[in-house]
Amino acid sequence: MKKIGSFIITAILALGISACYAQDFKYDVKQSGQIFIKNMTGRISIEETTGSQLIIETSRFEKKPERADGLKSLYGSGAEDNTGIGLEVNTNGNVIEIAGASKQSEDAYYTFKVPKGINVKIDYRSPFASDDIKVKNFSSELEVSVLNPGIDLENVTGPVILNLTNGDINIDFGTINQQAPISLHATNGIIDITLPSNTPANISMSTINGEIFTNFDIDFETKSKDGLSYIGGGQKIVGKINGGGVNINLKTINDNIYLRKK
Amino acid sequence: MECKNIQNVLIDFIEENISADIKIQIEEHLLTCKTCRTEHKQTRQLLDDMQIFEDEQPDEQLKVDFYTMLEVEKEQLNTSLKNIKSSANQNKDYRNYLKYAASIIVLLSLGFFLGQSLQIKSYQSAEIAALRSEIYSIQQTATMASLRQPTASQRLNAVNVINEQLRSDDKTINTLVNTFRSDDNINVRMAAANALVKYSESEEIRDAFIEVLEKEEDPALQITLINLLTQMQESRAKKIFQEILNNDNTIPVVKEQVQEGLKVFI
Repeated sequence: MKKIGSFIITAILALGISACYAQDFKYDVKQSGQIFIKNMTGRISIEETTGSQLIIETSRFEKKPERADGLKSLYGSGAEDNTGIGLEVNTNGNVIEIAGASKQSEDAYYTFKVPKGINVKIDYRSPFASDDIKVKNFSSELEVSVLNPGIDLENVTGPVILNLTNGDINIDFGTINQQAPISLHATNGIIDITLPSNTPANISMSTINGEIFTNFDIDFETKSKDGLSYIGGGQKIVGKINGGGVNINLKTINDNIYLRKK
Repeated sequence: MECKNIQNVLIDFIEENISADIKIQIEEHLLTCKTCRTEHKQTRQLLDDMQIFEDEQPDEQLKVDFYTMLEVEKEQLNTSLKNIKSSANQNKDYRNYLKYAASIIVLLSLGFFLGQSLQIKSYQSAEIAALRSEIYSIQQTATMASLRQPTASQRLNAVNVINEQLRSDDKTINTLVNTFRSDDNINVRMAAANALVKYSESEEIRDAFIEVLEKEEDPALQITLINLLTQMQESRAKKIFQEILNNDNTIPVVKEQVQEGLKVFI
């Protein structure tokens, strides 16, 4: 029985591996560089790594068929797969530009392991992009623009600059970097952020059709006098928490803002 | 007595080292001559002030040097004095001249130091003002320069600094307008637009808002501009609002804002 059991387990594992073919791509990164991901619709996850190499891991991606040996793949956008994992990676000055370069990349899952100190900028405004962007344990700058999906950040320090049209913004911040501002804009989505309770910040929050909820003690500087003349009866709240600090700007048009402390 | 002579003996007059008849002459003169009265008053003031300062004691070497110089000077004076005609005052010992000369030197140097200390003060405040404006211009330049930084947060920070700290001169306004029109990041452009609202009386700013709204496709920036132009009651915006409303590519939330805006326009 034991033998049969282990056989079954091995068989299941083998099946799993062949179904989910995974491979890595590594790339040396200059310090103080920037990574710019654009023209991609695959699922994007970002993590910080201690090494000096950018590592891109992918799953749900099949190698090109043997029949295509010696041939290069062509892709509508003009991008050329120079990584073997469906992406084109180019260096442009200090910026490493990454773009989708194959049909498969449109649905593949990519995890970018980014060296500390390298900023990441993502243009995810393609209407065909549908998976939420996930970022974990990240301490450099994130600049992201998204059309449809949402964005989920966990243990990030800022600076974070987000502009989303239809998705939600969920962020669980670590200790906030006081050197540079945070600016989050979600037109149709909610903004739900959690900050360490001792975070000093100057906070400005506005929504036109939504509500604002918080359990922070906010020291109001001004309740905007323009509040009522704003069309749609929108509201803007400006104040300080923990005596004031870095600027945090939260803005939605159609949904609610949740500002929590932990 | 002539004014010139009076002024020569004023110090002695004040310190009463002077013969009674000359003293009377001087007093008479002072009653009639305003210039000398002023001179007398000022000299007196100066002498009073001088007493506040402690005398500096020259060291021995200086004394020796001084006396040797004095001797040389005396020799020279001795010879030159012989040629000078005698007058009412000149029957006195030539040492008097030396006394005057010495007191004039003391006066001059004291005046010089007083003047200088006053000047240092005004110098210092002028210097501080100059430094301030230099720091300001460095800050201004640095802030403007950081608007060309590669990362959005640095540029956003620069817009915040301009908005909160810099004076609103043409240079800062132009920089804000440029950022508003052409920055790579929408959040930075929205921040610049909000910073520019202060100057919404300016035709240039209104033009910029209108021109950008005509072409802009990002809904966040569109809505920001729709709201700002509605607040400003900029009538030229109405036409563009209509165009946005009629454009099939406009997303619903932007259309709603435009409709609300059009309702508010008078």
